[in-house]
Amino acid sequence: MSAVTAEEALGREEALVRVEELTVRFPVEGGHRTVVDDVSFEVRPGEVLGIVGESGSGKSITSLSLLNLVDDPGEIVSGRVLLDGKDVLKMRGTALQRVRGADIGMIFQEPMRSLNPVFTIGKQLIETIRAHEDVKPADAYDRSVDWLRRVGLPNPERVMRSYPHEMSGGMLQRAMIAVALCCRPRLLIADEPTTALDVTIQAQIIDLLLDLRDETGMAMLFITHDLGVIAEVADSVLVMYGGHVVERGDVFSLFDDPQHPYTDALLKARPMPGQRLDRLPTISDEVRRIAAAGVTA
Amino acid sequence: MSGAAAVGESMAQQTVVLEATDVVKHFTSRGEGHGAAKQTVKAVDGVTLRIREGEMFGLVGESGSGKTTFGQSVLRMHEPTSGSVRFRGEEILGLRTRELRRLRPKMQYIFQDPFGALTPRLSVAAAIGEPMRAHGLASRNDERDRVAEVLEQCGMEADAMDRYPHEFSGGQRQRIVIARAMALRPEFVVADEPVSALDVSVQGQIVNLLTDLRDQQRTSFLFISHDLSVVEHMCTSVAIMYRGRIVEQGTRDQIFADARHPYTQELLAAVPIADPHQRGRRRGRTVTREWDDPDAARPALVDVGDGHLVAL
Repeated sequence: MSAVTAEEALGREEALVRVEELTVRFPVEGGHRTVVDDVSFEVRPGEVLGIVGESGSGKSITSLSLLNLVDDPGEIVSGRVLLDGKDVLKMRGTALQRVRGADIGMIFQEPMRSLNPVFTIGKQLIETIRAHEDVKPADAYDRSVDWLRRVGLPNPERVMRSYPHEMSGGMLQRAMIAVALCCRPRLLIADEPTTALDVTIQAQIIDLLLDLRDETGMAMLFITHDLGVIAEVADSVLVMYGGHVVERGDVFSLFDDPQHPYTDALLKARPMPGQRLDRLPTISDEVRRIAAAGVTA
Repeated sequence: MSGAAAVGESMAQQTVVLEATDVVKHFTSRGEGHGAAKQTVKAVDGVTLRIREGEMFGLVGESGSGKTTFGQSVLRMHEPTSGSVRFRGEEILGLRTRELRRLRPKMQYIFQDPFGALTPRLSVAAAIGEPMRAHGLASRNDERDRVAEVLEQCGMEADAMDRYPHEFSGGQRQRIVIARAMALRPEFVVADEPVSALDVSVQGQIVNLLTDLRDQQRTSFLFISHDLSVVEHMCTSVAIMYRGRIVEQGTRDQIFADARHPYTQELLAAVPIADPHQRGRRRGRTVTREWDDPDAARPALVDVGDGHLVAL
């Protein structure tokens, strides 16, 4: 019941980002392979949308498309990504630059993908802030220190002077989150942000992201293969397989009553605390065939 | 010694395959700044455990806890600073290289990263077959048959033999890495986060494969992991490691139903539960590690009943 009311409450708000019929393909020998196939969804302000799928499901390419960041030779062949009614895929130059970072921030599983190894954390934060906003260097410094404190890094002044290689994985992950959030994006894309981390650090990062969502009202696109993480963070969920969405729903109905056999199999494949089966269930070839055929529940 | 008889016996009576006593591994590095004193990192700071025949022993800890260093120490992939490691009663830390080579096939290591663990230029047949021949477990004539057998056992088709690592997915490569280790019919295997890099659905297949191999060959495993759900599912004995030491150790029930150490409790509380109705259960809870005083002497493990060891 509460799920329905939450859905209704969200339904009254305008979508922040609307993805319509997105299709991405990569060239292969003698043709093309479609890696994102006619995917549509929307994210409202303050909503956490989880995208679940195995490797190769197209979940990461979908998220990169939102920023028009699909690398050659990949090609977005059709679809629209509407932010405030404007199509990000048609933007060029400064308009696109504003969207990347200021409107939509992104964090990755591997922090070094978005941090530069030859600059201190402080320089990267200050430059990011000043690239998007007209602020004095001293103010940008203060704001940077403030962000490092907010993501829970002890001794932020010291972190400002540190280079990425001087920091541990969990600290780097926090620093990257600070860089992604310092321009107060309205949407944060988090691509497997906790997959490489210890459970204790993972729990801290998840709490941090949810706190920041509550505080700033930003929306999140949370990409992961871990349904345990989805159950903790997402309001609504897309399940992807072979480039298309096999099931979509609010988090409660998806876990309580999965409609697609692939979703059901994925939910059962994870060992649950307290559960000791002789064998772990795996996803059968038949379920994979059904999922690959593109039947949407 | 038969399987049926072993079930009826208590754990204590089963044959101990590996016995590590007070294993220490310190790394020294130059200190910060010019002329600074050398710094010692106590990666493994006195670890004692026993693994019995056919046992799946889980070793859990966060990154930097020393669990991998310990696993490599007991196989002498590097030299421990001090301590004792006995394999079927024989002390291996003092063995010369030649003597150690005799034991190598019996003690194997499965790496976490299936991409880094295979040489890209070696075909699967060579990667699995060469160690078999080197240890006299296959001859030039029957090498391919033996490789096909072990591949099949690990759920791979025999035609995988003439292909190269880049042609396989992560899950398939991990099967090849496991096949390479199991081809030598090891009695003891250190499996270092063997499923951490894999998708949830593939994790299940690999977990089932390791369990089957344990059942079929009575292989003993030291299963190193930070994933408590997988450890609870697979391992009958569990040790929790923190900053180079075991802080709690016991049977699966003792650890998962009756955790005594605050660090074990912290780990268990942090595991995400795939049930949205339980969300928020953990959020907002602050975790302190007040029990961990870096300057104080580390407390010793004490038996709190039925072999359940806690260092508090």
